[in-house]
Amino acid sequence: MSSGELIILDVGHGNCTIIRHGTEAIIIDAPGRPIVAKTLDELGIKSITAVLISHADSDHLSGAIAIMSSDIRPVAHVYVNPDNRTSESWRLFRVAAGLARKKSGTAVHTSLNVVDPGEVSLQGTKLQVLFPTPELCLATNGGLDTDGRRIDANSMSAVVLVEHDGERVCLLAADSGYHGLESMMDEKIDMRAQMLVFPHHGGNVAGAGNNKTFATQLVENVEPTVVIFSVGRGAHGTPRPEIIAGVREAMSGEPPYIACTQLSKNCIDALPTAKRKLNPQSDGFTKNSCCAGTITWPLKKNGIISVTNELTDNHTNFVLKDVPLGLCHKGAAPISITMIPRVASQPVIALTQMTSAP
Amino acid sequence: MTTEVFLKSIKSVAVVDDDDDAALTIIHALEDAGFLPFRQPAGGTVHELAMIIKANSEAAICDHRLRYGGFADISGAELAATLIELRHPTILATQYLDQYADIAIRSFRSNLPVVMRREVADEPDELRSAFARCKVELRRGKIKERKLMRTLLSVQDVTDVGNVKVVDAIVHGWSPRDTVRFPLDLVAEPDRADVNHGAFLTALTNFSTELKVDLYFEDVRLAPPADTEDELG
Repeated sequence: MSSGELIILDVGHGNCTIIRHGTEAIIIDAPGRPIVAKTLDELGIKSITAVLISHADSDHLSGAIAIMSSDIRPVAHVYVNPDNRTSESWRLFRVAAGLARKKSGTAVHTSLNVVDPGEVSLQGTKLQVLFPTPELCLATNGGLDTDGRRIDANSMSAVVLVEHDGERVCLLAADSGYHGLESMMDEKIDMRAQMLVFPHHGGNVAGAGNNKTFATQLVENVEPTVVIFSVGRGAHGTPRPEIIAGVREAMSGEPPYIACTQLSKNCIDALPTAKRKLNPQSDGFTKNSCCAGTITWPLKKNGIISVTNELTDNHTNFVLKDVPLGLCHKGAAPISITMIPRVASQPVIALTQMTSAP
Repeated sequence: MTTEVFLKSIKSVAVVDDDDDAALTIIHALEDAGFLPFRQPAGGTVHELAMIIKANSEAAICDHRLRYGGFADISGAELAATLIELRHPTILATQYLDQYADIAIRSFRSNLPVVMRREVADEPDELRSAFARCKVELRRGKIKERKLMRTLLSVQDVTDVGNVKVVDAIVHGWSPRDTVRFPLDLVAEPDRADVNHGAFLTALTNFSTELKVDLYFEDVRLAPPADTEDELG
């Protein structure tokens, strides 16, 4: 079994996760940013086992148009739920899926739910779909669920758990909100994972009054050591302060470590001028707009130790020194290195891009 | 392999520029970079001039906007691209990159490994790095940010700019919002009449580059229509 990596790619505003084993990869969501193709090239990826698209929003799907169009990197399977929207990126996604099917034999699966496919795996890494249910998918975007509640794209957004070698590595929550959380809680789905990629980039999920509660509830269920916000600097005001506050209040005073992929404008107005060690496979690398940047999780026993050590070295020290009003530590005792767990048993929160203070 | 290794074979550099002051500035920068530059006189057609330059130098740098004297009918981009086709390391420099990148330069960008802003071309280190990138592309083909990959484009507009029909399109995989302009001539001739707002194109392009001015396109054709029976809608 080859050693692999789980990569939470800094794509700016959007989500993209790559699970790599050798020259094969699974991709979960992909916005249309140059960093996606650049990273796949630099990783030496030659074939894509599966592309999972959580839902049809452009910041999760438009990069898949190029991935499926590739002449050199065939895609074996695409999993996505139907959507009745007429947006250009969705229509073009379907054009690309059709071309890939005809040209490369790509199997385009019109479902991504807990039953179908339920699980997707690559060399010892298993992806388990925790949400949505097939019956919710029958309603489609704009329809009503069985309780009569209106479904939108985010309500149907797929939630995927990544497991490797018996460890529950990461929960990819895409843009899911209360609908998904309540459904998973009702069905007593085990959501626990060492890392949580927080839904909707830390943007509004439940209305300003309920966002904090949602964040706390979600984190209490996932019990992560690290919470990542995949944000683009200056985009959509993410992560929202009340969401971060909710994450910080979770887990009985032992909150996870928080990091954003890019520096939020809610944390700092001006970009840092000093150079620092960053993963060049980050959308914010050139502009120095990364906070934690791209995060790479080695898929091996206790891979979290590598992640937390890297966050300590490259993120904690940075925010403490250069982002005094960072939401991830604002209003509380500063994060200290000793607060960041060096073992897999405790949560850590990280911000992928930095925000500026409100 | 280091820059120095790639530059070992370059000594004499032809400078093609119709502006005396600008040519002198580049010549000084090239001298500071360790090259032996000379001002290339005008003469003949693009191909004839390219052959003369190839015979008398190991590399060249061309200004894009050539308007005076014997250069009056020559496009710097076309001359530089012709030299690259002849496998002669050549840099294109322009003071007006943003103005010309969309049409005049993008038409030839496939054969232009390095296009530099004029102010950057006055820096000796930048010139050495640029010639090294030329040599790498000539030796190894297009790599990294120049590598072509297929994607789909959605046409937002087709307009006339001067006497040139241009396409404004979204390049999927590069940016879902920012349109990129290129000459309609880059689209396969039989498809051009059907390129209009809302059309989808398939193309090879280097969408892993971050800079719009560096994007270029090959094999641009109309994409087949969406499969209405795909069960995704």
